[in-house]
Amino acid sequence: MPKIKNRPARQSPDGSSRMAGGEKTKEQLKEDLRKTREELAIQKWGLEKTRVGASDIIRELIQKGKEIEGVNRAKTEFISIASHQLRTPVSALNWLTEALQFNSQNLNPKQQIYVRDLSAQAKRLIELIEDLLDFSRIELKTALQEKHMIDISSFINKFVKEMESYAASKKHTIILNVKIAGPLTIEINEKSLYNMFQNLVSNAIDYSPDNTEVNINLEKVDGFIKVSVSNKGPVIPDDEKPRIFERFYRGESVRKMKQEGTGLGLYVVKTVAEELGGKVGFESEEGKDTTFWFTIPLKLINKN
Amino acid sequence: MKKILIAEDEEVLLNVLKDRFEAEGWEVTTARDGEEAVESIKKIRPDLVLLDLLMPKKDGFEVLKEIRGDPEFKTLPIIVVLSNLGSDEDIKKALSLGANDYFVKTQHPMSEIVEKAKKYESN
Repeated sequence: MPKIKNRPARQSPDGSSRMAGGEKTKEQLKEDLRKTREELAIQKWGLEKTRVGASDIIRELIQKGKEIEGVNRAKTEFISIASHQLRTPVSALNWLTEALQFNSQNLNPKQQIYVRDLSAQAKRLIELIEDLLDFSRIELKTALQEKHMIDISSFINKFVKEMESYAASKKHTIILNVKIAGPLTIEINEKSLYNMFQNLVSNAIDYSPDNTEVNINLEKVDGFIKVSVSNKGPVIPDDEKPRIFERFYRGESVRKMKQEGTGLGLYVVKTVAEELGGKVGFESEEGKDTTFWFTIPLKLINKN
Repeated sequence: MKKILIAEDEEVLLNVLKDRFEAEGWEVTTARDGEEAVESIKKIRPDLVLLDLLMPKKDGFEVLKEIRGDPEFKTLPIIVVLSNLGSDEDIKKALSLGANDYFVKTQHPMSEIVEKAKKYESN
């Protein structure tokens, strides 16, 4: 027959201590309360530590964020300064090559070819430098400060005229379709607007087969002015789609078509559009034209 | 022979411009800073000035102010040379200070500058 002890049982596995009969004595209750308080204190201490830890982490993250922002800005400033510095030697290169071409009758046929190639390379270098400068102006937000009143239809007509010879060099035709009646004036930085058009249209020209059409559409959509540029270019692979507006990103498929390029064009379009309160996007599906577009909110626009 | 003053502090650019203008039949005088440019303009009285905006001692803007302030040179054709494209403000400022025209080093080949110069030669 088991002995029944009239004293508290050892703590049971579930952590409670009880009398053999289930009732607790006053002392036991006090003991329980003390333990609970202790545990609570420990938990509170733990929570406090976590809270302090969390706020430390948040502070550190903010600090890191600021540092990254600073580094990014420094990097962009560096690009800006470097590109400015590159201009003088590159102008010299360009003019010296031109001077050689001016007297090219004194050169043998091989040298004449070299000089012609030298000239083409110098021009390419200038274009790259200008792209980097446009990028840094937009990154440093100096580009959008100065605003001009621009009539969108005369702007686009002039722009298309300028691009026509480039398009013709690749045997492309530019078709402009303005679905906006009457004059529309936008207050915007002219160079930035030009950059947006130029990047989309030159991409459309560069990345489509010869003898095809490039379409530029201008229309009003829900309080926005929408500019779409379509070409008969190849479909953009699915794995490249999410990254296409990233800065310096150039997909495998475009690198195959055109070796040079900074990977900044679409990034510039996106940054400017978003800075103005607009959006960018694209559609690229098998059997359809590839279309890139941006919108600018109509609030920037004064109707004359 | 028509006289041109080329004010440019970059030696290589100055030389290549000088050679080109001489080949086109101009009598070329050169200046390597703004002070020299002002002195030369007053001394040789050129028919045309190519003026770099970024120069030591006196920049192109100061040269413009000083030259246009002199009644004798109110109508002297001055073309300013910019190294920065996109600096619309510099262009506006130079034109408002009395420059007749401008060109951008990285964008314009020398042949275009020569063409512009010819326009003023016939005036």
